[in-house]
Amino acid sequence: MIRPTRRSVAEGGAVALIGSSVLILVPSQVKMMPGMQTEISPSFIPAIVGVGLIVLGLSLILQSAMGGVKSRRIDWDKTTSIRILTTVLLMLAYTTLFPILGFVVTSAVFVGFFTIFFGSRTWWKIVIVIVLIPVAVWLFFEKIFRIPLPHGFLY
Amino acid sequence: MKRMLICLAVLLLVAFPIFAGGSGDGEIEAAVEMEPYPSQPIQIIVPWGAGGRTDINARMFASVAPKYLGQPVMVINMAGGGSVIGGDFVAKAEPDGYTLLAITPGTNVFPVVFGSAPYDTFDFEPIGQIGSSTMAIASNPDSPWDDVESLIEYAKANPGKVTYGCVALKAPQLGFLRWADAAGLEFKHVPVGNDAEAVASTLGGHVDIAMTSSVATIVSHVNAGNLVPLMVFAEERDGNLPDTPTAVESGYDVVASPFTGIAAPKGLPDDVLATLRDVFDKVIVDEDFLKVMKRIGESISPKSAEDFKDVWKNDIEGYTAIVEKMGLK
Amino acid sequence: MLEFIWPSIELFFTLQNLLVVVIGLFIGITIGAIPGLNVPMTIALLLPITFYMQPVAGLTLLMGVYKGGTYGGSISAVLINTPGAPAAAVTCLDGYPLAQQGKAGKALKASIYGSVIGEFISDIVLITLAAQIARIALKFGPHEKFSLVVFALTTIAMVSSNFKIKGLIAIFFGIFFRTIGSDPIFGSARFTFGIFKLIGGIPFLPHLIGLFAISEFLIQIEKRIRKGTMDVVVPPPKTPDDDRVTWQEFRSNIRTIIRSTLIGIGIGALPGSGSSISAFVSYGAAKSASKNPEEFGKGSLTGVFAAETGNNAVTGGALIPLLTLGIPGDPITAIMLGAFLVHGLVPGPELFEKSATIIYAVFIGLIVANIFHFFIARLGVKLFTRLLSMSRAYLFPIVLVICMAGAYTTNSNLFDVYIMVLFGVLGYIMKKLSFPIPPLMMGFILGPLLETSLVQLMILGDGSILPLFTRPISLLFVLLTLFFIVWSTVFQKRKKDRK
Repeated sequence: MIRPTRRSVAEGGAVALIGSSVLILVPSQVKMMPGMQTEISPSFIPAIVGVGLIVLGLSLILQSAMGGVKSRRIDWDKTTSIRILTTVLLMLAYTTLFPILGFVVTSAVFVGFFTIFFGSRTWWKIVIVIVLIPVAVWLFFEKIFRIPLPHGFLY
Repeated sequence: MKRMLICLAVLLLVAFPIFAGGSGDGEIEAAVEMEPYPSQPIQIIVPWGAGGRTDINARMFASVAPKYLGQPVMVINMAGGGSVIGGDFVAKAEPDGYTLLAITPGTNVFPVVFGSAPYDTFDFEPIGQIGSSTMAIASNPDSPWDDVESLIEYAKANPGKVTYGCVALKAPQLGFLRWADAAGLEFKHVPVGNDAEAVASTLGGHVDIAMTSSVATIVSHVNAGNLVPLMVFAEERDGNLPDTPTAVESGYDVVASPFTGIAAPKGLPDDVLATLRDVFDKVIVDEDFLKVMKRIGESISPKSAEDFKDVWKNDIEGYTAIVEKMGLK
Repeated sequence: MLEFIWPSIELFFTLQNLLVVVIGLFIGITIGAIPGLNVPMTIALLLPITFYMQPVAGLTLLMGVYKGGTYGGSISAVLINTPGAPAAAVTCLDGYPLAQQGKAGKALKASIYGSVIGEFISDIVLITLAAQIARIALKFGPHEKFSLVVFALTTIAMVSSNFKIKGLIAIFFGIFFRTIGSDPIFGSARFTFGIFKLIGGIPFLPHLIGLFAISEFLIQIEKRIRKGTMDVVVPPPKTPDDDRVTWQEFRSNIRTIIRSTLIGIGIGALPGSGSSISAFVSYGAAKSASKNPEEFGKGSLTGVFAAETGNNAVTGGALIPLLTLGIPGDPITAIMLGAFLVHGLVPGPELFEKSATIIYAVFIGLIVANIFHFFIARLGVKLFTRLLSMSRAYLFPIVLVICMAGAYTTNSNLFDVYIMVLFGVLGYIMKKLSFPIPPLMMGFILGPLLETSLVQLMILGDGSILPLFTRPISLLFVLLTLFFIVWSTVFQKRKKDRK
């Protein structure tokens, strides 16, 4: 018997924890339709998922304890975490702002930012991308697909 | 890290003047209100996914309406929550005539009856009824009955044994329950996702009876001899199934025909409402529109806004009563 | 049938119809290849246009989009690890590793050959055996569907990565996410936490774009950037052979292609399943039949062939229940049903009697579309590969903007865009921790079918699951499931121990 790795304990534990939270939430979060008595109620599948996740989380730990499959190492450092966090925040900001400022404007800012971030330094290419792409996407949806994207007050 | 910071600075610099200049919102809206209705494209919200009957009705309406309206009409699918999401969007939308709803009882009757909708049946303003579909029951030719009488006999002898497949807690099941209640019979309900699934399960012999919200799904199987139609639930017999009796003819006071129509949020200005109802009346008799409606098997029974409102009222009262009686709520 | 051939040929072969086929395929491939745009939405938008076209032209247009779209997803799956359509999720598993080895051209061409052959055979089966296959499909009741779903999910968990337990966990997560919202049968609210919008559940498309496209964007953000250099997305081929499928390679995959085609037709003919399931099951079957299953997931050409043949063979199969029974099997055929009806063609048993000439003309259109598909796809691949030789500095931000717009426009809802970002983060975390993502998607897709068929079979059996083991087709899938579990745990391990 080999000791389970710390990572497998963390992963398996987290999965089992999520499973138990699902189980705990079932009674309060599944609203039953009274009068509709069937053999399988709407809380059956969620309960199965909860139990399944607990069992699978524990087997993940067990597998590692028996010297099972080796996981790939995770590359993670401070720079990465800052990058990812900033990007996610920017996406959320983009989502929040585009109904207010309009799709074209926010997309232009967003595209510009990431184009520069990914290393483009040719200014005319950046300008073309910033102007062309949001307008093209907007035209495509609005004029061809006939589904309006938010204009915001700037149009 | 440094790169991120530089980029962020650029972003803020670009974004700043945009924020600073942001207060023109009200002016544009005011300008819109000044122009006579309609001055911009109109959207019809379909609270279901693309491709269903309601969707095709709305798309057909949208493709004909511009002729009389002078503005493009766009169809937007806003599916989810059994149409409550789209219904809620329209109920809470600005009542300016630019947001309309393709309405069926699935949106403003059943969710209200079951208390799952955050709006009321009359939070919508009727524009007009396009049609109402004929619900029908049909069974596999291999079953031991071949008409309603023999079915009733069989069901009396075997209470709770005969299965019927239909969508749960919507017009088909509630209509069926009303009839079963009137006939004093007990059946076993097998919930399915849609009419097509009910038909497939009956064709395959997995359930005994299919209850569909429209005869359109069964007609071709009936003609081919794969299904036996037993009864329809409309006021009159259906043109496609002239030999199939209505429930009333068979001696049960059950009429249930789910409607389709166009509605707007409550509180529309009178002139806008008048324009919309006028356009609706023209579209509903338009040749292009009627041609397609006929092909897809939609029975056109146009009703004016007032009559349409009465339909809602009858539906909500009738279904609330049956749901309470059955203890479904 | 033969007496209809000549009038149908006359009806189909007009300049307009030929043009429409090309346009349909072109639109389909483009929409399929761009993550964030989706085929059902495109077909819904084209629907009103077809109202005003000749029936044959209108229908072949939609068929072209359907075929092209099912295939197109593989292009972005291979090149940027982001399936443009759900059916291409499996293609990522081997297509992307191949592209990273400089064999993008090989993978893309394998995908064309697989798709076109799968489609062709499946169309022929549709034309000749539709009625017989439909009769078998009707035999699939709740019991058969339930055991098929269990079998499909097991296969998916077992084949999509080396971490089988993690695959199963991903499936359970997928099923769980799908339970959020109204339940598929009675509409009772589950796990909405008082948020009204969640009653509608987690929307499929934003969830899909998030899991695959947004998470890939985050992975790209991680990569170190050297000053002044801009990385290209796909490394160039090292040898001419990296850019094409050799005859040798093709010949060794013929069995896989045939097997995947049959799986695709079968699954397509069952209402309620779809091309992504077929791709997975074909992939699983190919892996278990392979002499070197360990190559799968690291750039196996057989894997690409299996997935792509499997998903495109569905297109013909899915038309079987639609045309013979009037029962659409997935969102796309549901919209097509509308297109048929609008032209006065009522799909169902009478279709072939009443409108034989038109239907056979549409069938000829399908075959012609197959031939065109081959050439247009080759052209498209050239174009897309050229496009992707552009730096990722431009490509990924552009893809992101399209995804944003795509997620928003599915239901014209901002909430959906937040969902997309959220699933992007989840997908990223899963990728980092080596949890496979495709099983999550499949759990999400199959959850309702699993639940509905379970509820139905329990009602029909008065609470007994015994018929699962007494009905022959159902029993077959139960046994297949058991076989697959045993095969992939015991035999695989023994093989490894022996080495």
